[in-house]
Amino acid sequence: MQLFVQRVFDGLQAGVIYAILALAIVVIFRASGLLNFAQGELAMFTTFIAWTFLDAGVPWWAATILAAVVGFGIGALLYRLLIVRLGGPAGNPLAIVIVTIGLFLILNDGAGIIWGANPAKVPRVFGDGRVEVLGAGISVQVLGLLGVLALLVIGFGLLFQRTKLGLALRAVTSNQESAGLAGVKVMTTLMIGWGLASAIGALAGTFTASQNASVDTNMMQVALIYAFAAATLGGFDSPLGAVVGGLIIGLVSELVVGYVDVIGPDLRLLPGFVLVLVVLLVRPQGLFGSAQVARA
Amino acid sequence: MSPRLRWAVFGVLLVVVAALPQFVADTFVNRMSEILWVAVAALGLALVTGYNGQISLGHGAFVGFGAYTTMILTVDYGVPFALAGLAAVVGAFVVGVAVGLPALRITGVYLALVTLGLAVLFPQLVVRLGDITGGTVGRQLLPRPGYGDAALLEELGQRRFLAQAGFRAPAWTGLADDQWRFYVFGVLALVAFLLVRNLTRSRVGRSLVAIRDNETAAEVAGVRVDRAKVITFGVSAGIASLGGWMFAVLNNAVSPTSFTITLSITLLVAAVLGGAASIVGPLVGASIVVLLREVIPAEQQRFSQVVFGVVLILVMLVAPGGIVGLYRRGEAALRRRWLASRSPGTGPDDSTLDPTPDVPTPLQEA
Repeated sequence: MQLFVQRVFDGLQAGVIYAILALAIVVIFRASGLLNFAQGELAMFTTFIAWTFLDAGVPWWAATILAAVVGFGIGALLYRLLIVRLGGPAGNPLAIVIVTIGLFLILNDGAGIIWGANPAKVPRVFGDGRVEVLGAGISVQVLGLLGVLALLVIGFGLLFQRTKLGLALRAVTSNQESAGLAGVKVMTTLMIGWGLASAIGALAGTFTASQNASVDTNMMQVALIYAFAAATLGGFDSPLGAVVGGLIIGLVSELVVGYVDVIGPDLRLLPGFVLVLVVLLVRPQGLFGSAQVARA
Repeated sequence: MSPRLRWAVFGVLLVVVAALPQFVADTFVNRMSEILWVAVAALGLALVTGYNGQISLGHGAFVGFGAYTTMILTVDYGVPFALAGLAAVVGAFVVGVAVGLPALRITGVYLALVTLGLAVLFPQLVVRLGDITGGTVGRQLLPRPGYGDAALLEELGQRRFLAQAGFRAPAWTGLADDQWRFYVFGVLALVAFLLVRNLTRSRVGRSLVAIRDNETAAEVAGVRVDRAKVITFGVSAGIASLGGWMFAVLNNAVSPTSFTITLSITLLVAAVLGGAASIVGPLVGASIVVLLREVIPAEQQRFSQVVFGVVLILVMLVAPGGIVGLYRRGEAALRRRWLASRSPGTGPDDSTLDPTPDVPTPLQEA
């Protein structure tokens, strides 16, 4: 029982990161119908920026906020300078995917060149404390991360449903042309969408770094795959789905790796991969997503 | 170029390339062999990207599958190289169909997502199956204990055994091993390129282009969309796996680090840079990618990923059809000018005369 509780919390701890990154993916997908394969590397890059602030003596919470602000700027600029030139949401998704893969390479290698490929040490954001839950020692870190995730979900729910900006974001997603005619500044809205996603990604990055107690250039790659899996499971157009999907993927991976010997830690990625294939076969729109009707 | 001139140029190039190994150093011959396997693997990817309008980030895994299958079958089980190649291609086809079936039924970029997972999963799988694959160390020409020609290994000792193992030139050819390997690769690459060329011009190929351009219309016109897409993905995986066979034959060693996501992305760069919607494109792209790695000095190697990233973005912004697309555009412009100068004022619109109209590639159209 103690081991089980431990594994559940380990799974949740990993799942929170996937959920936050999946949230970033979903925000971009909702705003522009596109997938950003550089989302994870963007998160890694902004985490290095946070680390630079931290190294200069800025407290961690301020460094995180600063990194999120910088991330917002990078995301918005990427949209304005690059994605728009490819036609934005109306452009060819294939070309945009290739461009985001190009960004992936530049950010990954660029971070290595700027900050060095060796992992840099980072303190744990919520400290090293532990709480006893059902006989298992649960680190305060997990509870803190779950709290942050809950705040993010509530915040984004309010943003999308209760603010004018959220309304604009939803309008642009549903029909760009009509939204433009109704007076929504489409370009600015989409820039904000990409900026928000990168800012959320920065949070995912700093939390990952704080969990690993280090930051290195390849830390977000596996997380990105899990985040895509989470978004597929939850539905690409549902923020709630992304969060639930992330937590499920984290839990399932941890429990399968822990209890099924054939898979073991070497094949950590397999359960998530199989889950995605099953979801695509059985319920392609995901748990919370809305089914799309294709029109020519 | 008129078709006849095109064939003539092609023939001359073929003769020159075939003669080259007689005059250049071994290392250069091996470099050309490397270009050929990258080109074949990129060709497999181009079939998916250029004609199917989908992106695979997992073709490196299929290359790895082919290379490991070849290595294990030939070294441990004494299977002839040709048969091992057949097994690699057929096996990859089956895996490709199994992966493509869920991912391709739905329109969108799901194939990219699933294949990204495949690319990252493959090295993990290799390590997990370490008993057969040699784990993180990988495999060389030595059979694992109790398999292969253990008696011969015992009798000759490791050094002399290795001198005989692997893909050797038959005595009747009078060729060095490197040269023989290059010629075999050349023939295989030619077969693969002709196969893709004929496939894309066949009923299947036209259905693919129809699907790429308008899936609903294609379906209404009677194209069995799901089947065409899944089978093409299987064939493309099989071709990539042939590239893997060539990898194993060339390097005589495999290890999981050779088949990471980096390889998949390198293949994407080769296909996109050369021109994904053409047959020659992957060969052009592969040559550039391999030679680029060659000319970048060792201490600057760490910049190579940045360079590839910039190349991908620039190609998409400036020349979505890749180098071959640029060439086609230049040729069309020259032809227009030539026609205009020949019959000024009365020259017919060249689009009605051009036997090879500038077909928009999936990456060009908005």
